Amino acid sequence: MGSERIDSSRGRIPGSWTRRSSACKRGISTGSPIRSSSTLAPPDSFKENRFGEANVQLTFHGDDRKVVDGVTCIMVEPDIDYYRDLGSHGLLEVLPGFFPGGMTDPRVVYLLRWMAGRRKSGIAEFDPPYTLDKVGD
Amino acid sequence: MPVVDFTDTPFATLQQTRPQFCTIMSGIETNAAARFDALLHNDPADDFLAGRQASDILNIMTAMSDINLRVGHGAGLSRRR
Repeated sequence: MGSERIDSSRGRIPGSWTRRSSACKRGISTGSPIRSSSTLAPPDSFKENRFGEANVQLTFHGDDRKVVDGVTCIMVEPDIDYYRDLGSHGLLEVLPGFFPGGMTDPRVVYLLRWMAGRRKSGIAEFDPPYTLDKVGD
Repeated sequence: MPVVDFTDTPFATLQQTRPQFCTIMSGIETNAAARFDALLHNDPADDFLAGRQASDILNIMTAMSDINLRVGHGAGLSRRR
């Protein structure tokens, strides 16, 4: 990060996001930061690179702060895209009806992330607390 | 597309099964339980808009729960002012 190292005592994320310690060993958050060209409040973005599909991207807005239970937190904008890069989606894209128009569909994200996890050993099953039910025949 | 089933997803249930999710949502929104529960609909008439938001939140927090941030390490999670 060069000269823009963090002061982690000021910018903390509460909750389970810091719970596990082996993420870097598994190559989770080691991607290159994506920089904004804005000179006013450039966010820092990091994208997970474990999977070919459904990786998490986090954008940290360090200037947007709030105190939660006595802990100063910064605004984090999370997102999950379908694909890590354009070259990784050749097969899935041709499946009819797989990609509805418009914004990202969380049902597709669920399927992609679950399948991506199944293809990698040592990855916990993606198990959000809702289920997808098949409709029709 | 499959239909989303939110049977095990109300905020009160999440407090038992995924308490971290509730902590995070409550930190963001003071009325988190009511606002989140209001999203738990999968009505085709609204084109899955309400259910989409709830599913997005749950997908992201589930994925995030398996990701470590290197807090306290000075390795690049925010900027020096």
